[in-house]
Amino acid sequence: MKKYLKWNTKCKLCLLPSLLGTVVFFVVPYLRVLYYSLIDNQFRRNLVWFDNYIKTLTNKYFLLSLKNSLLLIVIAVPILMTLALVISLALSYGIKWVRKTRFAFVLPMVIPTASIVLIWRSVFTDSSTALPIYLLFIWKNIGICIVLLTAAFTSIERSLFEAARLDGANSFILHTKITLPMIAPTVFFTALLSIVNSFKIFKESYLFYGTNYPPDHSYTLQYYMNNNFLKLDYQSLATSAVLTSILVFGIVMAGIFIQRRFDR
Amino acid sequence: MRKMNAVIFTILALIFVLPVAATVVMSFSSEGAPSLQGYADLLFDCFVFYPMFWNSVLYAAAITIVQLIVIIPCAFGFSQAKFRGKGALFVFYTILMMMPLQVTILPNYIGLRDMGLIDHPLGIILPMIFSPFGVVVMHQYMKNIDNSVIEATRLETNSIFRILFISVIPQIRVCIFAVVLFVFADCWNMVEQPMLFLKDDSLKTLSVFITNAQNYTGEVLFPAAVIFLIPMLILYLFFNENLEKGLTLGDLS
Amino acid sequence: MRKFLVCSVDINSGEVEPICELDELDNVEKVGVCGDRLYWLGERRSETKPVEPFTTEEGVTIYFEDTGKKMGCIDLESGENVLLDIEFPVSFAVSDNGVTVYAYKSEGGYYFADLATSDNKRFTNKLGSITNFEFFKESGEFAIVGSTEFMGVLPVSKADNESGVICAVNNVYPFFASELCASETGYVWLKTADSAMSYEKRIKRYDLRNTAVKGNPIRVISSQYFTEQPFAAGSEIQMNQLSGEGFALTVLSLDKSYDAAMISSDQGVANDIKEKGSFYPLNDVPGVSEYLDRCFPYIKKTVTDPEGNICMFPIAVEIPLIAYNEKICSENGIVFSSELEPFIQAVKRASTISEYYDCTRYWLVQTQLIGYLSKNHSFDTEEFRRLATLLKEQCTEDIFKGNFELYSALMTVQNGMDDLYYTSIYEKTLFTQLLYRIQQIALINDENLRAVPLPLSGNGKSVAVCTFLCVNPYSDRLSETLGFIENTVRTMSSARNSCMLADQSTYESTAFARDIYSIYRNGTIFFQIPTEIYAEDFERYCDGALTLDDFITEADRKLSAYLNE
Repeated sequence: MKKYLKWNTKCKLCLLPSLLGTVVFFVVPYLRVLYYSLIDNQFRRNLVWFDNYIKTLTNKYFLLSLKNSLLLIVIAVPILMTLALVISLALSYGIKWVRKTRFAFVLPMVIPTASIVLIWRSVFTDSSTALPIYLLFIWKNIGICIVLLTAAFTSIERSLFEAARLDGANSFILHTKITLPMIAPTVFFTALLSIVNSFKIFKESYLFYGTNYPPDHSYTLQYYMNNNFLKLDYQSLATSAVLTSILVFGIVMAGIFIQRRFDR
Repeated sequence: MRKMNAVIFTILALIFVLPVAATVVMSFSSEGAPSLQGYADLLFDCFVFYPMFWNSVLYAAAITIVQLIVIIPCAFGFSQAKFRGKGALFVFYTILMMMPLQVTILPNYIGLRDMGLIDHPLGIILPMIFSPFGVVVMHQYMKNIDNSVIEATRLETNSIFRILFISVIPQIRVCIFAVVLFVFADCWNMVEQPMLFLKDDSLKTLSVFITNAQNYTGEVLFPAAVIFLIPMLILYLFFNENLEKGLTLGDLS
Repeated sequence: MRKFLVCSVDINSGEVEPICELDELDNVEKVGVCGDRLYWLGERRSETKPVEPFTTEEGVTIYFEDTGKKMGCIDLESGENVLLDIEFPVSFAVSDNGVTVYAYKSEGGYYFADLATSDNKRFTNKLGSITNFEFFKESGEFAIVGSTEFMGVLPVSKADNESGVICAVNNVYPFFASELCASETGYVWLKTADSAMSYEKRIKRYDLRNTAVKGNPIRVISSQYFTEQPFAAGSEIQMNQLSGEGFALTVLSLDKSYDAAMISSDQGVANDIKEKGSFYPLNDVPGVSEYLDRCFPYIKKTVTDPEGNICMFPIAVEIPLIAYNEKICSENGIVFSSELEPFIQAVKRASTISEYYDCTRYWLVQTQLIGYLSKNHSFDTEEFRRLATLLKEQCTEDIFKGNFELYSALMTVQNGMDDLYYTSIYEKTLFTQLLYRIQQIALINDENLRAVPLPLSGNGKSVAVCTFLCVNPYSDRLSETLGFIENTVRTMSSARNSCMLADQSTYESTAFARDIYSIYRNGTIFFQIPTEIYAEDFERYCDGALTLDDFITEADRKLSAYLNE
């Protein structure tokens, strides 16, 4: 019994360095942001509680930016995932090719933002829709998704596959009953990764439009936050940050919930 | 099937390689004609390029290595230890991972300034070491390790280090390579932190150089971009063999 | 070699009494009385000696050229002249404590020594070969002129014999200054030229009182480049330019390491600073309130926030204007107006007459757009459409262009310089644009010029660009910074032609000066919208790449985002 406890404690201790660092460099800053969202002014520090939140939630441009960010997640990420899935599936049948081409898929992720935006700007001159940004996002992230998904595919026990096929199952059943459940965890993880990256696309979008005020369809949360930062209006920034984190919390919770149901 | 495969493959490869190829091509041209002028401008006239390049390498390498040392035990602890709130803690990590940069930059700046780490390489390295991203990814892989091997090793020794070295790390070797790749790419590409937390130009990184490429004389953007690509590609090629041996991920929760 | 006669003069009776004759001198540079002795510094060029250069600890080599300077002492009672045994004197100054000499010694470089205790040499090689120095304070601080260390950069300074130059005063550049006179109350008089282009010298007084702690500069941050630094008012200013994000980061993180921020009203961030009340309220700094009351009313109104706090201190106001030669323009039928259309006609008429006029399109468009935006929150109005069409069609580059020689011509004549080329240009100059206050003040004494503002915006006022200083409440040197503000206010209160003070007697009395005064009185300060919202698109509209409606939609969209975020 004693040995067991010691082991558990040791394992818990393993968590310590990471936890400590995370608290210092991530949790404390987050709490600071929370505090700043509740005061009226960096200098006078009067607590105004939820006044700032009301101001932000009724701000036309915050809502616009929220809508655009959500649209990006809700539209681009599923497209990205479907595309990646389809391509991975197709490619997993010809394993040899995949091996050779994996290289190409990682390229978009390593190319520096400044140079790719230059090229993108000369290709996509029409900025009446947010299409260039969506395409840039998909292009940049599809590589990683394909890598992760094809790996998941190839790891499915071939024997299981063959057994099912021998049992007379056709392609469709094969895919839905065996493949999909087995790669579901990877799919969820990849989706999460893509959502994280959808926030990071701000840099590319900013360089693409070259301005703090892009067309309305591309005005995402980060633009709202960045502009308020430059205007020294930290309160709007802090409240939108807290609201974003609540949104993120919701997404993660939803993801877990769906996965739990799926597991059954 | 094969034929369709080949078609898809070629189209895909083209889409992916084209912009990169365009970058390489443009790095070798100057005002429309092929020339090495860009490289000459960069390598001979641009003195800030060299320290910035090595800073990029240094920071990314330091962050990656130290982060591994931190997250491997951490992910191991997550998978092995039993305590209440473990799930909640993990969800917490996931949420932190998803915070956009604009949110954290000011508080990070204040924190680093109070610690006196502004304009110091540690100000860039330390926060990135503890980025929750690595923990989340590593944890996913760690779930699939074979517990029986752990049990067996535990019979022989109680030291966490040895258990990790002997039985855990070999199993998750592939995962480590993947994490190294992701983390290195993340650090290699970071722009905002060096720009805002470092004041001295000689401490900044190559990614900052490329973003501000128009401030330097000559056509240095594309040659710099090509050089920027190379270490990542080298790293990827190095790990490619190992990666394809199988990457699987466990449950999200 | 000449002979010099030293005499004493009774100011009241005019009686001159000779004291002593100095001969074998080429030149007497300076005299000073201490007690009953008169000290003099002169040159004997025939007695120059070769001097070994001296290398300092830091490896800097100092070369000294001996011009045969000698110092002597005359006993005022007996009239006896004694040559002092000081090798290579450079300059000297008299104070209550005696006479201090600044000299060179080839084994040590430059040094200060008190004549009474001449063994006590205080070496300093940071001041170099100065022309002259004088004590101006009981504390023993002195002002120096003509230090080779700071040629053209910090020529007049309060200096310390150990650390070298401490700070510069009031952005002054005493050109060809030599003679210096100081009072113990902290004032210094200098005979200097007005500019590098002028040889005519005037005697100017500088206020060196309450100069700052040595070596500790006031740290000022800004997010754009300012050509004009704030008045040093006896402190050293260290300007640090940051990027937009860096500036926001520094201010919002309540950084202690900067003392003040310098902001211009044409930066987007100015408006937010006023609204957020982010900086230290300066109401209680002595002199600030009174000074602002003496300024034009619109200035005080702009810097006071709704709660009555003054967090932004204005240090300069600028309105671009047109300076025209009254006679030549009326002869040619050029009449200026404050309305845009007649103004354009006037410039067009000028273009048919000669090329001696300067009015660039860029500034005209700028001022008109800014003027429009100072009253309107949308571009979608009839007024704007008319304005835009007018600007696009009539303000073309071939008519609205610059002629950069005109300003030089005006300055040449103003400074009384003998330059045939520029003088002939001056006689043909119709008008020129003067964008900066410094330029306007430099020409303020010209009898032939009159001034007129660029066409006014709808509310009948010229939009002025104002530069502010805001004090950081978290600075670790807050009290020194507030002291600096106090000194600045004092300096500015007694400035002439400041373009901020409402008292017309502080301006020159030429017609040009009166015009300038009324232009500045009829001004307004507007915290401008960032140009990225409309400037580039407007240019594209003028080039024909964008239709007016498209421009209005685009610009309104961005403007709405900016105003409502």
